[in-house]
Amino acid sequence: MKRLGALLGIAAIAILSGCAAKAPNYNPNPESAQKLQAARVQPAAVGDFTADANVSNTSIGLRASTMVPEQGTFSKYLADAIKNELDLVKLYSPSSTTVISGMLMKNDMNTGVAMTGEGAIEARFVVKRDGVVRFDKLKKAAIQWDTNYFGAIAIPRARSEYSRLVQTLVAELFSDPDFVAALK
Amino acid sequence: MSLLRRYASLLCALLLAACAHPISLAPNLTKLDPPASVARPGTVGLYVSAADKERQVITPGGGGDKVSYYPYRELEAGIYKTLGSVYERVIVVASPTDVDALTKAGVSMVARPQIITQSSSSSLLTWPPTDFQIQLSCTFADVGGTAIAETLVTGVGHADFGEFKSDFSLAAKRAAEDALNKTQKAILAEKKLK
Repeated sequence: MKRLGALLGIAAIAILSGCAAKAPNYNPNPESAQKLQAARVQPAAVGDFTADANVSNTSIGLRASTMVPEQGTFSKYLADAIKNELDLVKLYSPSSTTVISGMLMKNDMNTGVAMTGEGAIEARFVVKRDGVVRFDKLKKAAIQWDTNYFGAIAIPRARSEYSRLVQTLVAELFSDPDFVAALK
Repeated sequence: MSLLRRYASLLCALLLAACAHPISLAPNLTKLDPPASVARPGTVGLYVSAADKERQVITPGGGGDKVSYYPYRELEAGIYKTLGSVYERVIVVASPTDVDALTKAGVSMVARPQIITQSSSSSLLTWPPTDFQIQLSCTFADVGGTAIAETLVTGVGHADFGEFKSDFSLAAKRAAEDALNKTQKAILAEKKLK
């Protein structure tokens, strides 16, 4: 009976460690989105977000585990992040002729071994109004966090940091005066 | 060597047991209840202190393990959205008592949340919590600091192994969505907040 319990325990841990687990829900930063509200920009729609062929767009390896986006792709995760931020301050309008689209150019997470985990993300953002390009720039973000030797801690910690990585990228975009001007 | 291995294994087990597995309460904001049919006029200032945003909470998981998370940081956007679903405008404020700044920003009322959480698991083998509770209270005061009303709700979330094996935070997220939806209803029902 004890052996069966131990085997079940090992199986459960193996399943939890080796399974593909979902990326966390994107957590908007009200202070970041509020800057757009204060700038009195026009509501915008969110268009297509694609990914460069070399980018980890459907899954990211985290040691023995895998992180996958609920949306199916991380480019869609980024699109939904922009949408959530705009919606938070009532600046999202699917019918707007101002459309934000983008391409994911880099999307890396590394749990590290014992000291520091790292994440890096890059995306090209384009704003068009009535089909005319008003903004077209590459934005980058990188974060670090305290990792752990044990995968049972390091993997979920890295996973939970992904939202912060995307949040940092979105904050970079929203604080760009050219982006704000493109939305006015 | 055998004795050394035993001590090394014991040390690893002790170290692992002392650590808490990180999870995230951040809800899926698209799953929150739709806005009230008519937005109430005015601007509500949402105040969450920097200390609260950095506050990490550790509560029980399964198998004797624990889970860790940042409730204020992870629920702030949800609370912001919930307030925005009732009121015309919501802004984050840096201070709940700076009357000049609040007045200049057009704030008519300040909301301050307090969050108390608890978690548990019916599993002896896996660490993600199967049950999560979030007690969310919001105190509302005018810009002068005079209390207007308070809402208090408890959100609950449950997830079984078959559900949480691909999303370890699932019970917590469900509790967050439940707490925020109940908060919206509580605000709408509170006569002093009309």
